[in-house]
Amino acid sequence: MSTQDLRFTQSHEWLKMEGAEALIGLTDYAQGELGDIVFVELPAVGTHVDAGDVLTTVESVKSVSEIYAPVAGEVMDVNVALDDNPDLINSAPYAEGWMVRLRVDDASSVDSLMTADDYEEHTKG
Amino acid sequence: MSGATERPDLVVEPTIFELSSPGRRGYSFPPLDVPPVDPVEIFGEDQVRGEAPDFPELTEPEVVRHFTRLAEMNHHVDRGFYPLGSCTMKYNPKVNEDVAQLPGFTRLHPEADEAHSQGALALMHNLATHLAAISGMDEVSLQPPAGASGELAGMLIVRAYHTDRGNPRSKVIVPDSAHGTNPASLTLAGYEAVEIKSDSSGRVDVDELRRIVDSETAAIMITNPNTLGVFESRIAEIIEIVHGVGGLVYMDGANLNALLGIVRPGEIGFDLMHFNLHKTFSSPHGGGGPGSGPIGVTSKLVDYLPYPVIARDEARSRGVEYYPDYERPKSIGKVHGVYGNFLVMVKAYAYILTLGPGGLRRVAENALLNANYLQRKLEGHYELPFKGYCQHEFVLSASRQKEYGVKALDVAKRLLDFGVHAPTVYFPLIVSEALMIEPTETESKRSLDHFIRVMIDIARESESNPEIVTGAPSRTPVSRLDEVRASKDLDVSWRRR
Amino acid sequence: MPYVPNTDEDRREMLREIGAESFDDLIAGIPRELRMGSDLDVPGPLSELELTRHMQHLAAMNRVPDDVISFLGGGIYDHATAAAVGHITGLPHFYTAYTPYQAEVSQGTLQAIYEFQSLIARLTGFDVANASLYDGATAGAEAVLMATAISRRKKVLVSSTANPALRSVLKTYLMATDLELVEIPMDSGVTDVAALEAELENAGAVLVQHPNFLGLLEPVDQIGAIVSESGAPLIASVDPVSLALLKPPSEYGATIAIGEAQSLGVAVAFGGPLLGFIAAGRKHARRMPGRIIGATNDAEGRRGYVMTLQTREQHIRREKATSNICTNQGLVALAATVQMSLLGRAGLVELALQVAAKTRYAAEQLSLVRGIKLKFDGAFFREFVIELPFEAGTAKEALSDAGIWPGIKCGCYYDDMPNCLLVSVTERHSREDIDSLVSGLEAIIVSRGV
Repeated sequence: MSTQDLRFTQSHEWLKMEGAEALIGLTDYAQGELGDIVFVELPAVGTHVDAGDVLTTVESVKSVSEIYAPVAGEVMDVNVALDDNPDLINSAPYAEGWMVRLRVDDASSVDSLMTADDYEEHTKG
Repeated sequence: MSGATERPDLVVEPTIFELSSPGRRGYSFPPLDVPPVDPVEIFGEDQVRGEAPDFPELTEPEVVRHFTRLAEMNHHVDRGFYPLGSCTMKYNPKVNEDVAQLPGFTRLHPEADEAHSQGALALMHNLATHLAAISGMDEVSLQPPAGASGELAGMLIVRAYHTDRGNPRSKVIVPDSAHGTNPASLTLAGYEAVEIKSDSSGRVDVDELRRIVDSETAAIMITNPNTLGVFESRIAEIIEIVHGVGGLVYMDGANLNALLGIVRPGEIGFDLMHFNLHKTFSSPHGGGGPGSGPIGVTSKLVDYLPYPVIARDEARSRGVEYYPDYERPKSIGKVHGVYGNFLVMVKAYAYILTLGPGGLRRVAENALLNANYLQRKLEGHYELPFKGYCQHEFVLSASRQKEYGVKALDVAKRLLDFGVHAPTVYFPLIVSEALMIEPTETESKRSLDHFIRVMIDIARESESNPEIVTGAPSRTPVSRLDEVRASKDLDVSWRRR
Repeated sequence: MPYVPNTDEDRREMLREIGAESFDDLIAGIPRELRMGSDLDVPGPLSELELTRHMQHLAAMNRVPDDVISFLGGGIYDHATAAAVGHITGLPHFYTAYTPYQAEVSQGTLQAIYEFQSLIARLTGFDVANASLYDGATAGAEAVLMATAISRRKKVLVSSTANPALRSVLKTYLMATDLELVEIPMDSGVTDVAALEAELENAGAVLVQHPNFLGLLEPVDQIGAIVSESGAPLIASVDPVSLALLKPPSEYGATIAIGEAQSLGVAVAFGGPLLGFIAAGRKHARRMPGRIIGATNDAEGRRGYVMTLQTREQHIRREKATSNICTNQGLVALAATVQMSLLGRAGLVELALQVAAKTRYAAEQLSLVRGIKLKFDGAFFREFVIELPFEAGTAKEALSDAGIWPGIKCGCYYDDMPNCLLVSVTERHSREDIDSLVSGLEAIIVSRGV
């Protein structure tokens, strides 16, 4: 799928705006580095996070990675399918492998995130 | 070459539950010589279990054969080389096992009167005294049942000391080469871990340390020699800097084997340390315990030691010279239900007496000699990130092999095919593709030469035939196991399928 | 030097290969002023013969059952261990192996621990047990940390009928945390349920021992019901032998079961090594401390075992680990696994029934003695409290000369029980042993004219 309408962070999260809400997940590059994902710890719905707060943790067999909130907002929904099939992050990082739906506090905060092209540069560096 | 055909036939041993047949049993009791009871009657219907636990049913020969077959799937020190870095897999003397089985030790109940347990108490007191003499500490508590438990006790002592001075402080510094137990233990003691980077020689960056210490620094935890096998040669400065802000200096004694008879940590300024009796003092590792992690301290910290400390007073009372001392109001309390792992202490005590002062020094000398010999012979074939003489262990990197697609893990797995246990891999975290090698003093030159040949062969294979290495092991009871599946489809207790 | 193979000739050759003049070159990195100026001040060296004599001498200074008839228990019990247990744990394949980091050459250790976990799961009624913890006391502390991580609440309630050693260790483990420890008093020897209920609001963990330190069965159905309703995880500290007969913790609302499994094939050994265990439901597996072994398959489809859920542990998660524990009690867990396998389903039940019958016989016979009464009325298993007409230490000393140790002085742990003894009975005690205790105590009471 095209990633042109997504925004990215230095720490390898992606964000997709849908109205006032944003879907958040882990990039294809990052899932490739982590290997098989075996567990995802999701936040409680209703939690408010600031940009840079730990949103979820993602585990492979021998590593734990923290996934940070790209922007501030309230958790509206989480992808419960990951409880049984955490490998969705490996197989479909930009689709069925999404993690959290956030109601964004300030829509303009998204503007400071990287574009797809910026992110591609970032992962090459 | 096909892995499957090389494996011995006898590889998959069923679980004990699958071997069970109704009606069998492997142990009998004398006939009951008092009136029998009915559980429902004496305990009440609501307390009683509907069905007995579904334990397996087998006779003694079946049970013994099952566990013997399991045993044969293990690598172990009595069989071959076990160069796990920082684990000190030395030979476990047989006489120590025998004396630890004396009924006077194994059948002694901890609630027996002091007068009836003088032999055990004397042994513990003497062992603590010898550990103090070896380390230069002033007093030792044998309570902690493992190294990590010793670390927790140590960090709680640090906390109690600072609290007594008005402020527990908030931070403990740990080098990036530290064992994971260090940050985990200090967190449990209420501290925040502050990581300090190693410099290009693999030692604590002293200038960086000077910058980060302040009045909130409660302590620094240092493994010396560190996990790279490097002695912290600027340790005097490090200690001075931390003491300068009122902090304490903790030594993780995991690598004490290298210092026996050469350096006494207490003498050079360390305030407290833990010992691993199962590393330095030869008690066996038992496939992962029981260990023993005594904690030693200098005089300013003795009040805080976990109690009971085994004390001696010739005039205490009739028949009692050694006793567990609970009269320590500032003690952090107990970290084990009783006295710690007593039988492990028996073995360590026997080891110290067998070696004596000269023997202990020769342990360190030969551990260093063996490590340097291996390092010298292997550095041409594997990358050696930190040069110079090592102490009791050293770290190689498989970075050269990685160019051919062979990782440290592959080298480790291939070693298993040659009857050698793998080194510690991917630790310390600051070396990529790390292979951490600790031969110990109980290996002969012949055994080291065999290891060298195998390692060089694997380095060659990595270039000429990397598939053999990445596909290894092929001669072990099982091939590489699917850890992803183990984690995703969690199966941690057997059920009939 | 019996354990160091290098000869002087080997050393010279190795130094030459290394390119060093002498051993001193190798320690050039250790500043001279830091090195010791004298030899170590320790005794030795001793030959094997001298060492054995010395150790036999120390062992002979201790008095143990066979020299005496002992009714000491209090969490550590002198059961008989099947002969085969020592032969298995004495195999170097098990005792000289390390932690099973390389699974392909550690399947024996891994499968044995998997079987241990399976047996503990069957005893407690839970799905997940770990590879063992240091002892029952530290298992209690680890369970409280786990429970409060689940509940995210800070108040910890522990019954005063739980083993004093466990309560003491718990205090140490919690001293640097923000958790608040509250002890619930006892009523008639069991947890005061009304007092427990009064403290339940906002509780983050409740720990109850069943049967409790005094041997009494706790009202677990009632406790389980009120604790479940409060939302606090209930930790049941249980005696594995009792679970042959008593309802497992999973059936009365416990979230976590812990305990001391020394009674299953492990020597009393002056209190260590012991064998702690912990078990819980599957959904809490990731909160569990310590090592867990899981089954999987190898590249060619064979069944095999690995350490699993390692991301919980300190070597990966460091300061964020569920616990700082690294090792378990591997060899001790193996001993218990072999003993449980030998006992089997029928043997375990017979063991528990013998213990129950002999304990009951002892209590009945003692209660017939004028001047002795059972301190509490409730049902008990394996031990019970008697009250004497005088300080319990007096009886202990007097009987000691006759080679009888009547039990633990309750006054050491509970101020209001100075005249009480905790009497513990196992299948090792014959009727004659129990009768000698009864007649011994009776003689003392008579001689004191009480």
